[in-house]
Amino acid sequence: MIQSLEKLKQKLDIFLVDDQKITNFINKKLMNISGVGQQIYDFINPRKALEELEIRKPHLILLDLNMPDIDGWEFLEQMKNYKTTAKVVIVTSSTSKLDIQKAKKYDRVIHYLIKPLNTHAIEELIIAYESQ
Amino acid sequence: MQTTTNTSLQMHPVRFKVVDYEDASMQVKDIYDDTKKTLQLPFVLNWFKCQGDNATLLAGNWAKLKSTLMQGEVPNVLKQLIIFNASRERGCKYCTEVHGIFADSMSKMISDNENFKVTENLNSAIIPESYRIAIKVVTKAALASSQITDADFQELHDAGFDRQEIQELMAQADLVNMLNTFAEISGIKLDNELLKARA
Amino acid sequence: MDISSIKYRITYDAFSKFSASISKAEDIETLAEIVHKKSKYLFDYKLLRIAINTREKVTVLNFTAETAIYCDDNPSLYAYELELLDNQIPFCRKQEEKIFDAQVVQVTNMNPLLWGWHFQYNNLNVCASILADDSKKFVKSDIEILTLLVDAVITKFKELQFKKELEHKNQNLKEAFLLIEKKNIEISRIVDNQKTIIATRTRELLRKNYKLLKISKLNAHNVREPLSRILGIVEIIDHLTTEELHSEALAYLKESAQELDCTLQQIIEMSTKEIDNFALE
Repeated sequence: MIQSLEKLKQKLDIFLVDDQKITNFINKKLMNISGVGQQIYDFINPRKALEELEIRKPHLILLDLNMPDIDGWEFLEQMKNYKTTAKVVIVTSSTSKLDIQKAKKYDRVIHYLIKPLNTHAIEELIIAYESQ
Repeated sequence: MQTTTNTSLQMHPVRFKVVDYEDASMQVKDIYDDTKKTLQLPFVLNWFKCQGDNATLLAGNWAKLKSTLMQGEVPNVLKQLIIFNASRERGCKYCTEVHGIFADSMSKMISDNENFKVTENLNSAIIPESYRIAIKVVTKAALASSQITDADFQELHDAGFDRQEIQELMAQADLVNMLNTFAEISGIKLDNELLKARA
Repeated sequence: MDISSIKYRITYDAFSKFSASISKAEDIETLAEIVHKKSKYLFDYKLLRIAINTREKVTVLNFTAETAIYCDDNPSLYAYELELLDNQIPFCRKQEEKIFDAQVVQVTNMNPLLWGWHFQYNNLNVCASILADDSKKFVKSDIEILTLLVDAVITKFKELQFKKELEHKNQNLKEAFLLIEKKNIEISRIVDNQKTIIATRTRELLRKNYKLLKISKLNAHNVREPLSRILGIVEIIDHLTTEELHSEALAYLKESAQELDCTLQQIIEMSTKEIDNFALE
């Protein structure tokens, strides 16, 4: 079981979508430490991320909710216009129950994590990806 | 000279018919009852009984007697004293005796002493002046009515009587004249029942 | 006829009629009229005078053969009446001096006598006096009747006073009641008004509270953002190369720490401003 997880981890192409460079830097490093990710693309501009959805075909997207211009929810809505099977993990500093409930409405969202992430959180999201 | 024998011996049946209560008509009986009630007597006075044969006259005379003597503002005692006094001065024995009793129903019978001058006694200062003046003036009005002057009326006024009272008092004058005249003509004697009251 | 029994009969009859009439009197004027009409059947006098003294006022009733006068505007009393009030000793003496108002009664020269008595009824001081002479003689045996007459008159007088007082009090109560009703309506209106004001204020407060909470939440967010970035760096710091550490991590740390500091300063400034506003209100 662990072996297959290890294999899975390494095969994933991941988008990191957050308007803060620092956050993307940290999350990328965490991925590296955990041995996760084949190709990791980070975006501070969610529009760009959308454009590259079909080209890069990511398996997993780490999505911040609190972004200027278009926020996390808007991103999720826009995703419907693209051909993609990518799953989304919401990474946010909001602990609002309302947000959590709203997230559940999207089938695409497989997990909800609170910032800042750590290695344990990375493990969690891998398991979540694997089990869906 | 009193006897307690049959009433009829004291009357003069040849003058007026004396009608006792039991023999009276319904109308007369009603009047007899009213006299008893109004005068507070358990019997009918002779003065009424010898009118019992003529209901109309009896009714009229009783009405006059009742309204003048038994009704009004002036104290009944005063009116009785006036009638008593006038009757005494005139010399009508029946009225003097009966009204003397009414005026003084708590004391003994009147004295038969001819020297007894009632008017002098009634002039005693113990009796309020209102009484004295009223008795004097109305007696004069009854016995010497043509000699009544404005001064007599003024005297009553000065004694404190108002118009209503003066009219009521003067009415006793012609009442006593009626009482005396009828008593004299009919020749009635003092009632048996009153005789018994004499101590 | 026995003179004393006539007197007794007359007096008894006259007094019981007098008593009955007085009890029906509805006001003092009627009371005075009854006394005037009936007293001549009780005893003789040229002038009968009853002076009633209470703490508050003096009321005088004057009776002669022709007139009955009732004064309740605090008429002044004669010297002999003041004397009576003082020593309360009844008297009977010659009265030649013409102390009385000639229009009311004339003091004649027929052995005028003045009789005076004092009666005490709780808080009422009554002076009764009789002016008599040979034409209208007042005698000793009349004193008892005079006393009974004064008793009856005063009893009725007190009753009429009470009635007046009661009516007055009732009127006052009625007015007070109306005033209370009016005030009650006013109070209700004020209370309703207050309720409206309270409701409005409460709504305002709730709104302000909500606003504050929103701001608070926003502040917390803004504080957490840079802080979580700092924590993030701390999390991976062991896995960084010296190169990465110096070129990127430290710079990011500095940036986030400054941002955090800035945000907190803003918060402090804003809260201080709000507190100052609050104190001023």
